[in-house]
Amino acid sequence: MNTLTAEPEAITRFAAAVRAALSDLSAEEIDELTDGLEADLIEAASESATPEMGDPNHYANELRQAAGYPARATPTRGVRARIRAFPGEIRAEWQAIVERFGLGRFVDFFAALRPVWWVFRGWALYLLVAGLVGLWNALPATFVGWIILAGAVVVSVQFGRGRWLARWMRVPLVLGNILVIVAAPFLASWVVTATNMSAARASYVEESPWIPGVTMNGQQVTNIFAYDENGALLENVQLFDQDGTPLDLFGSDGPGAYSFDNLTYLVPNTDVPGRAAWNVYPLSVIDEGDVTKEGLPASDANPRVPKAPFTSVRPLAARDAVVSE
Amino acid sequence: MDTTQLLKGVLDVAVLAAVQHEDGYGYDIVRRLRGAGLGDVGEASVYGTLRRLYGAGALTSYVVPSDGGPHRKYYGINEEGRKMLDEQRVSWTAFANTMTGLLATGTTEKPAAVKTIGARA
Repeated sequence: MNTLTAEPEAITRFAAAVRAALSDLSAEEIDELTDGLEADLIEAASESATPEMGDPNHYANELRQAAGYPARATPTRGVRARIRAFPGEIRAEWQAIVERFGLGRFVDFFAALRPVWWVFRGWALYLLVAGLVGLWNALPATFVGWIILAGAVVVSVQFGRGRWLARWMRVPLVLGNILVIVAAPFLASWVVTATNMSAARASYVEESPWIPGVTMNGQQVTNIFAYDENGALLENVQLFDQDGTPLDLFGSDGPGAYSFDNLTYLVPNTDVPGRAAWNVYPLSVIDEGDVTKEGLPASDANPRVPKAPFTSVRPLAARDAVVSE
Repeated sequence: MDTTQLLKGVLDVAVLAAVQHEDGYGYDIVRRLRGAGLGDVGEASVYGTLRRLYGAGALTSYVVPSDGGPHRKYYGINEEGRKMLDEQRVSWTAFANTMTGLLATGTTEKPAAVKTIGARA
C-alpha cells in the first residue's frame, strides 16, 4: 500500500479519466457509479503485483456495462462513429419537434421547395467553378459559362435526388451545403447589388432618354436670357458653341414650334436669313392657339419675348475699378 | 474457455453471494470473489454490478469515512437481495446440473442433441 498511496495523483487522474469516459451519463449516475472509486483503486493498486491501472476508458466501459447502462455509442475511437450517428440524431430530434408543434404542413411545403434549393446550390457550385476560372458573373456571359452552370445544376439536382452520390461524398456534401447556406446571404446581397446596378444603368438609359439639345443638371434648358455688363436684358443674342454650331436648346432645328409644357410654344427667330434660327435668344413664344395642326406657328402668330426671370441684374463691377485693384 | 464470458451471466448471483454473510466495500468484494476462485473477475465489473444491484433494491449501501484517505462505500444485502439470491441459486443449480449432464454424455452425441433441439419436425 505504501508505494501506491504515495502516488495518489495517479489514482486521482485515473478516476478523473473514468468519470470523463462516463460523461454522457447524468452527473447523478456518474456519482452513483464512481462513488468510492478512489478508495477501491488505491486498495486494488496496493494489492496488485503490477501497479498498473490499465485503460480508464476500458475500465469505465466495464463499469457502465456491469451497472446496466448502455455502452457509450463511441468508447474512445468513436469520434467518427459519433459523427456518423449525428445526422440520425438530428433527424430524430427534428422529427420530434415537428410532431410536437404540428409543423407537418410547413415541412411538406418546404420539402416541395427542395428542387429550388438544388438549383440554387448548383448555381453556387457554378460560381465556385467560374470563380476558379476567373469568371465573376452572377450569370454566365459566355457559352462556356452556361455549360458550366448547366453542369453544376445537373450535378446538384442529381445529388439532391440521391444519385451520383458515393458514400465518401456525403461528408463533403454536408460541409458544402453548410458553406452554401452560410454564403447564401452574401451571395444574395451581391446579386441584388449587381442587379440593381445594372438595372440602374438600364433605367438611366431607358427612362430618362438622352435629351437632345442643352440640359442643365439633367433638365432641359428652355430659354436663355442674356444680360449685358450693365445688367440690362439683351434681346436677339446669337449664340454658338465652341465649334461654331448654332446653340440650339432643343436640337430641333427647323421651322416648328417647340413646347415643353403644351401651353407656351417657343418659336425660332425668323430674322436670320436662310434658316429658322433657334440660336437667337431669348426665344420668342406664341400661344397655343397660334400653333397649326402641323406644329408650325400660324402665319398670323404674334411671337413675343417671354417674361424674363429678371428685368435687369446687377451690373458687373466697373472694369477700371477691377484693373486698379 | 473464456471464463469472463461465463462470468458475465453469473456475476449478479456471485456478488450477492459474496455479501450474503458480511457487508463489504467494492474492492473487498472483488477480493472475496477472487479468493473464492473467480480469478478473472474484473474490478470494474464487480463495482458496476454492485451499483446495479443497489439500484435494483437488492443491496443497501452506506459510506464509511476513512482516516486520511478517500471514503469507502459499503454494500450489504437486504431482504430483496436474499430473495433474489435464493431464486438465482435454484436456477443456477438447475442450469449447472444440465450443463454437467450435457457435458458428461460425451462429445459424440453432442451434435445430434443440438440437432434435435433445433429441428422443427
